[in-house]
Amino acid sequence: MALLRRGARRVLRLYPIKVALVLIIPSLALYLFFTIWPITYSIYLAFTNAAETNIAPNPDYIRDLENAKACVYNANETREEIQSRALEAYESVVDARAKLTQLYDKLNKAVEENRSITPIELMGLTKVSREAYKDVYRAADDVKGLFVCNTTYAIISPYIEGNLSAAASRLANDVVKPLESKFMKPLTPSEARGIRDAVNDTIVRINLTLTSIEVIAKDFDGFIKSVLDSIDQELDRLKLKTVGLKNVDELLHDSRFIYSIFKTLLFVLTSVPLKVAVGVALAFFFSSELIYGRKIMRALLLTPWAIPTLLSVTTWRMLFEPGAFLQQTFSYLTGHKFLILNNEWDAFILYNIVEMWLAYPFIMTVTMGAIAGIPKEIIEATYIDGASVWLRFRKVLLPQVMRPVLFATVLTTGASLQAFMVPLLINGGGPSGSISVLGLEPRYGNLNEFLILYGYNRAYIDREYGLAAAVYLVVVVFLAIYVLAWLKLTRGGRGR
Amino acid sequence: MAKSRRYSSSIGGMFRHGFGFIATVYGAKIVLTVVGLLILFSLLFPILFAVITSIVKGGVLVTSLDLSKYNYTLANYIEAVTDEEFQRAVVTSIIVSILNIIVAVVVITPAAYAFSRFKFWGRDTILFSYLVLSQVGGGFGIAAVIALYVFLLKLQVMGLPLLGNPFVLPLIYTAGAVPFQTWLLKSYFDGLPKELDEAAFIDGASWGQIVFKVVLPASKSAMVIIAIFAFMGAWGEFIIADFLRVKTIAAYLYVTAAGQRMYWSKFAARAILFAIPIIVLYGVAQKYIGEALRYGAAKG
Repeated sequence: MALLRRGARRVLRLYPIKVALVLIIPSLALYLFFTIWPITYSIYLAFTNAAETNIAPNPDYIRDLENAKACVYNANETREEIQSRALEAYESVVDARAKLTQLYDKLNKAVEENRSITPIELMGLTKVSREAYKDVYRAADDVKGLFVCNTTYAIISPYIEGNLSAAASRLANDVVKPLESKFMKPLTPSEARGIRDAVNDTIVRINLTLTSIEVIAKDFDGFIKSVLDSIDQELDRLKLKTVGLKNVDELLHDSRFIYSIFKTLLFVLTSVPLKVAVGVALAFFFSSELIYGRKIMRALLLTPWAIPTLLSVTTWRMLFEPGAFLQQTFSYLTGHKFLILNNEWDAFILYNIVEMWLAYPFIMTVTMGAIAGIPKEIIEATYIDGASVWLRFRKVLLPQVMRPVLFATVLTTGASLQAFMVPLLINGGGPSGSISVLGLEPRYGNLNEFLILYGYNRAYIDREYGLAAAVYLVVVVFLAIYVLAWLKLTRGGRGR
Repeated sequence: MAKSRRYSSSIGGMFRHGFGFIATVYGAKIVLTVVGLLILFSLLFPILFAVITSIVKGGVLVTSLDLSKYNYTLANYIEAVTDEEFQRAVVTSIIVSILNIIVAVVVITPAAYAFSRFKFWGRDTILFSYLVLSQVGGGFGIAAVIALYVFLLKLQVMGLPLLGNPFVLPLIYTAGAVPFQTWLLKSYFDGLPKELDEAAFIDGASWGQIVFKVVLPASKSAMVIIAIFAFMGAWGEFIIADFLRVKTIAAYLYVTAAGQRMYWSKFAARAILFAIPIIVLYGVAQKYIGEALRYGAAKG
């Protein structure tokens, strides 16, 4: 006992903990920073509204908004002056509008009755138009510099002023000037038509400004409040903030997400038996001594491992392009046009095939290793007992390879659960269509977006990082169940 | 190997007994071999198809198995290697892959050595966590990439040029490969005799001596394994590279493949050029691939 303890102490002295830490820390630090920390950060993001707008907003833009806010507060200080000027402008504009309406009615009447306007009438009209012009011009002058805060939410004054100035110049050039040039001459209906339209245009323009001026003149507090609210709303949109369980809640009420869970689990149910069956069958078949060159064939069968997914999966997609060889074959076999870009289940079938193709080398290798490990004596005993080939396979060989195959099945189930590359490279999880499940509101989305791909697309396409992180939070629940099953089945993960 | 031969003869015996007489064995052998070749052909057909597509003249889609009706050319390959965008992507990939090898070797070899030789508090917990985390790498991996992107974007706005920077990738790749590669190398070190290191410690060697005279010489072949996996990992990865806006050759091909209109001949030639280094290294590292899959590091 004492000797043993001394031995243990000697080992400790031989391999000092300090040295171990120095050796391990770089890798651990790298792992913690680039894997564990992002995962932790991702959990935080799942409870935020992170999106392209608010992760890294342009600081200049935020400063502009803050300045505009301060400017609006300043304007509030001089409210009496602003209000009185706005009121004057308002009255001028209302006067102008009344005169212009009168002008319009007279011109319109002449146009409709198709008669010329007499010089006497024309004098009256010219006078009215001149007065209207003066009113508009005065109003434009009144609002000049009335309220200048440089933000889209409060560019009130330049906007009003711009509109009023435009109305004034239009009035001067296209109404007052032609009327004046007709001095002592009748105005023909066609000339009246042109002037009438210009008057109408002016009325429309000043109407546009009228509500804004009225708001400043009569409801200044409301106006200031609405501007500040708009700015605050925009600032809020640019701020990354926690939203509690909103993302998860949104997901659980999103038919696309529920359908994605369904599709993922369905894919596990279809692809796992397929690839395990093919892998095990190939292992048994190519174990037969009756095949010439089986060793070379076995080595060649592992080729899918050697090919990067980017090449192999896109090649499968190529094989199913409309008109391509396998597309034709499958169309013939299934009796309909086999189109992975149009038909939901055609794409799903192809995913299964490709997943099988990618994974059979693994299952096959594990199974062949197990077959090689079966003691010769057991098999020989079955010959003596005179068992049939099938019985020998089922009762003797299969139970012997059961455990390793089960282990490999669990691992490959994890791969199917996290299937991502295959749907992504085949058609991005498409085709798209309307999805409606469990009485939830129908949504338009990709019909074959498996869970991992769903999260990826929310981030990569929609740039909704908070939502995408929430997807992975839900995925973690599935993965946790999977890992528990894996540990239970393989007794601590070390398997075999 | 010996084991498999022993078993195979048993299977042969099984069939012999099952069919009863020797004469049919030759017939069965021929039939089974032909079936085996057919299976092999159908399973490797996609690869053959990719190669044919890449050399078909005029960029047409190969629709028929009658290969004599097409004309063949290497123009797609020549066009690829003379394309400046392709060249740039390859150079970026080479830089990223070499840096990844360096980072992985420098960081993981000592750690794996420590996990193999030293007993310390938390050792088993870390190893076990590595094992579990490497199983769910796919799901967590992308969650981590998204969060990492958000994080890097924030730093980018503060003025650090991290997005589109190829030098960030090796750190991320190596970090992601830490669990699997540590396990792989630890198993390798477990198989090496301990006496040499123990002697060094007993002689009271300094840390520098221990690292350069003991750890490094013992890890030479381990480093080769790590280097191969590090290269294959960095060369083939495209999701992270694309997300972080680094145009590696894989990311370049991915963006091309995601496009609506595909020029299959062009694409196949480029994808095959891209795949060649990985296929070659696969041949070299073949015996470790099975181990790699056991830890869920590769596809499948």
